[in-house]
Amino acid sequence: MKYLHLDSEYRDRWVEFHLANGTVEDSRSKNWRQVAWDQVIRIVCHMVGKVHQVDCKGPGFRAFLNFRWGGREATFDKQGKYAGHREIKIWTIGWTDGRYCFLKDIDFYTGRYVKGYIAPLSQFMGHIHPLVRDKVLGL
Amino acid sequence: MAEPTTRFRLIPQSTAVADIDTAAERLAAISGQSVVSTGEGNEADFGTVDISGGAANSSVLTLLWDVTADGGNTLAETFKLWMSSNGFDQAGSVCKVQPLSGGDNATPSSTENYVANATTASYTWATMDESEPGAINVWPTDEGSSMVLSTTSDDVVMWAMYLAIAAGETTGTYKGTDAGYELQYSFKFSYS
Repeated sequence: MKYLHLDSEYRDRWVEFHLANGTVEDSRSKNWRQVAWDQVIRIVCHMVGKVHQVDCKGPGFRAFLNFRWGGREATFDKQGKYAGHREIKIWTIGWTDGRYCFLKDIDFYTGRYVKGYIAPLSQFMGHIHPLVRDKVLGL
Repeated sequence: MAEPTTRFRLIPQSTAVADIDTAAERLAAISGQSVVSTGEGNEADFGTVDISGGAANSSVLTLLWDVTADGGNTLAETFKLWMSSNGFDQAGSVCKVQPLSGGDNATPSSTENYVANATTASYTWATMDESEPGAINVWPTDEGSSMVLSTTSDDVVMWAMYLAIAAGETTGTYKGTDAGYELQYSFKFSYS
């Protein structure tokens, strides 16, 4: 496999895009915007030995979402005491029904599932893959 | 995709409106700007607030955030800014914030146009969130929820802020991780 130019931290961190025809695309070898998104039936996130999966089985499923979070935020210990700032590194996978997004945040450092949440699609319009934009928005 | 590289810049309050009323100007080096650290060393400094006569305000700061290297990504959005920790003892001590746009936004609604030499009377302020907001709360000048990345972002996210310190607040130097005097912010964005 010929990888994209990526740092070594991606050796154990990648996302697979499973297509209906059996092809499996890898985020390390292809930018997600080059993937045939209208054919994706499953996203599998491999993060430091942990595996998280999203399928196209949700009610009203229209398309998958795949993006990441960056920035910098405070962290707190179990007693609620401030424990310093750290770079935000989260990989988010999920799907949308055209109105809401059903998302899973995966910690890029540990591979652990951080949280699942529902958010309005209006917050993530830019992350709709161009190939499914009309379908997602009902155009 | 790799991670985008970003920066925070503090610009002089005296920066002329005309000097930052295009995206190109906001992205370029702005006279007197300083790149502020997200760790210790060269933080944005609110200065000294004298509360000997009661509640008082700090000076106003104007900050810009942008992407300097896209890391192979093509879009950033959902910009969120919040005050993640402060060591203030008085509930009335808060950070006030106003998202800003350049003068090239003729009809701002989620933002207000930047004002040179702004004071606490210059903008319509809100109290800054003290936990992660549920949705975008700072914007690029066009008030879109996203910015295109092509090597750099196509604009900056800009805001003004100051500290409103209540009477009776514990005096001291509030910064960084200093126990009991913490003062930090968090900034989060999504990208793909």
